[in-house]
Amino acid sequence: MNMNKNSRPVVVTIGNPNTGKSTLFNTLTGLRQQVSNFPGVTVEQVSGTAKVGHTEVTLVDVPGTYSLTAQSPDEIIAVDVLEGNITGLPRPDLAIIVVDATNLRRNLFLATQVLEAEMPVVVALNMVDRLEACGITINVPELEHELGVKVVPVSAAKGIGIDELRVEIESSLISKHAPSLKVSPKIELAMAELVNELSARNISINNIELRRAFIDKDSHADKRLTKRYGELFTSETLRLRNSIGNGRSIAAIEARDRYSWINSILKNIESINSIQGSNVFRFIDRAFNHPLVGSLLFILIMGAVFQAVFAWSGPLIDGISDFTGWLSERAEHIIGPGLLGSFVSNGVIGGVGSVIVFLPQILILFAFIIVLEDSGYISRAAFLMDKLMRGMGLSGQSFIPMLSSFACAVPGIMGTRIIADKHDRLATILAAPFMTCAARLPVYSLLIGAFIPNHHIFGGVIYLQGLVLLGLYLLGIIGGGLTAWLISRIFWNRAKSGFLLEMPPYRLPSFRSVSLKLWSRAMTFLKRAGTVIFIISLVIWLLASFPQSTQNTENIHDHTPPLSDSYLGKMSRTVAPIFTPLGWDWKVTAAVIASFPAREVVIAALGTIYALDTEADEELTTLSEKIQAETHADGRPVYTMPMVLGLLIFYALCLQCMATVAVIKKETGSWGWASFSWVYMTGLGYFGALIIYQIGSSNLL
Amino acid sequence: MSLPLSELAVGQSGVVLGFKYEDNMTDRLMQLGIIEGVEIKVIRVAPSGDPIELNIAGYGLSMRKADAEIVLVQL
Repeated sequence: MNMNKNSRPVVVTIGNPNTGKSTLFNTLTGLRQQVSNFPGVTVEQVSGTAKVGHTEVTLVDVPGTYSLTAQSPDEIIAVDVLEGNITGLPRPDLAIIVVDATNLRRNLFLATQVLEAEMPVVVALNMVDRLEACGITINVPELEHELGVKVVPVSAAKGIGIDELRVEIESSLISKHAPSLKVSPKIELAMAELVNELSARNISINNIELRRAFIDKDSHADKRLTKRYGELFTSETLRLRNSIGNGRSIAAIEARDRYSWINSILKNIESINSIQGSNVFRFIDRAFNHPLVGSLLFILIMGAVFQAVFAWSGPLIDGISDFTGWLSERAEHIIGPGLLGSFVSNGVIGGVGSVIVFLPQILILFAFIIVLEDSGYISRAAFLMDKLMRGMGLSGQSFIPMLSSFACAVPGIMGTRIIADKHDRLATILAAPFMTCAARLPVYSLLIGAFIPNHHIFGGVIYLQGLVLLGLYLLGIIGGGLTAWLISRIFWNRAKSGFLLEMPPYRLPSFRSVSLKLWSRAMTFLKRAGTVIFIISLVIWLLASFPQSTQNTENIHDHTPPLSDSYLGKMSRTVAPIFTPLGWDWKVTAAVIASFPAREVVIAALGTIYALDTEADEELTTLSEKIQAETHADGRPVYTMPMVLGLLIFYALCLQCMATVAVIKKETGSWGWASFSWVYMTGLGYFGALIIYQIGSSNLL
Repeated sequence: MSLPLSELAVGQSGVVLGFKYEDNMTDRLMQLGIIEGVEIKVIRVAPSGDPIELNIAGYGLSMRKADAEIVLVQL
């Protein structure tokens, strides 16, 4: 048995998307999950600890896939986990295949592929509680007999059959019985010959990896083995592919043989009396899919999601800001002024605070997305949006990552893993950071609140401030759309795979399932974005606090230099001329530079800059009042309307987010695209602000 | 009579006969259960005319007309 560091057996849950796999994983592990980062892999793996009988096992959840013919990055991970090709994660000791009982035929396709992996398997026949309503009966003992493994009927959402599943997992771990299912005589013959030929040359490859490499020409596994064994491997596989293929792909032979095997066994296993959906769901389905009503409902639902994200998160965000503010004051009071106090209160507490302040919006948006996913609506939304997204060179599948990006581009970009086409995926990744994320809002609120008059226009129905905010949202959407369109033009490929999306039946999401998924995703976000934002906050604190001043006479403990003398201030003065054409003085430049790692930092940076500014009028208390009163050396106001509009456009377009840059690097696997994205967006922001300021300040208007 | 899946009207169903040509896309379609002998019903067309939603022997799948054109069915 493979043993990992903790000498716990490793168990993997694998299955089609929409089979309740994550719910089962969450039910088995509870909250004992962690997001692990395995080296060499572009993504994290969610794993957790589960107790089965007397054994503690490490449970690894892999992304849902329809076939082991891996195309999207998500599917490649699933296969890599099964093959034991992930550094730091041993080959699993057992696989739990999660099968949707109401859709047995298609689910058995992947299941039979996994049954050939030569590892112990338990099949979790999920959603058995829905069988009756679907008019389906399944002969479980017969299914067990045909598959050669234990099949446990469960309902992960309702917690049915979970104990029985644990028992079977434990006993299969002990017996180590691995099934030996063979569904395609042709492929088995070729495989036997291939293994023989290779072992004659002293090459031994794990069966499932060799099998996938042979069947899926040019797949990830094929390329890896070709790279490792070169000519020897390619000539053998090529010869055998030609000898059994007769011009057809081996994957096509596999699919035909597998489905004919599945169809032959299902005759005695599955009987479908009548397909009768619930009347309520049928009605909902009709409404959602009516061309006009459905489109209106779509706009309404999306509107409601955004409304809720902003309305509900406001008080929470204020609460968190107030609390961290209070905490950092207390800390400074207890520790006392000086470097340590400043480090704890501004560096550590400020840094942590700047991460968790995003949680309300992100959690609320995630909760909505999970509910929309679990109910089956999100696929309908993607269906409706496909044509529109195609106009931008994307597909309906890009819709969900784009929607997530309105909270934060980091989970949005991570969500692009479901996109199989790599250029579609790249276009989505590069477009996602344009969407107005949670971090842009505080900047927008400050500047709009301070400088845009709160006029009613169009007969008092619309606020000018709201209109400007809407304009900034649209600017982000247009910027992202054009970017995606440009990328898809560059990589134009007629033969690219289209849009294939399962339309799962409508289901009522369960509270337990939604909250466990929310927890799991929040952890992923905190781990991914949190660490970066936190480290960057510390770096900014260091740059603003050093070099320590030696001539401060007012307070012997406080050696914090005036901002203009700190490293940050000095850097800003050096580069300030670049930003003069945008109407910025060195203070604005300092705040903008400080916010390059994380854009929301600009608020705190402006606060620090103007608080430390001795010339500032003592009577001006709020940041908004201070920036309104700020002037250049010659007395002209700094924050003129063209400058403010330019600054807003700069924040809308510029990629001021280290966490996003890091996630682009990780997901594209190259610093090239990450740097491109940064330079491209920063350039757009700069020139956008430049044009607005220059036109606005000229005498043409 | 054999005709492309994309030409079926909403509510019509057909049995898959094969494909116009075979490539990576058709391998994918076969893995998803669009394979000879399977009955496919057109459930609806998106308001913009594309993509289309199908029922493939019991489950729903949407695809673009351009891809459905490769699939040959018999009414």
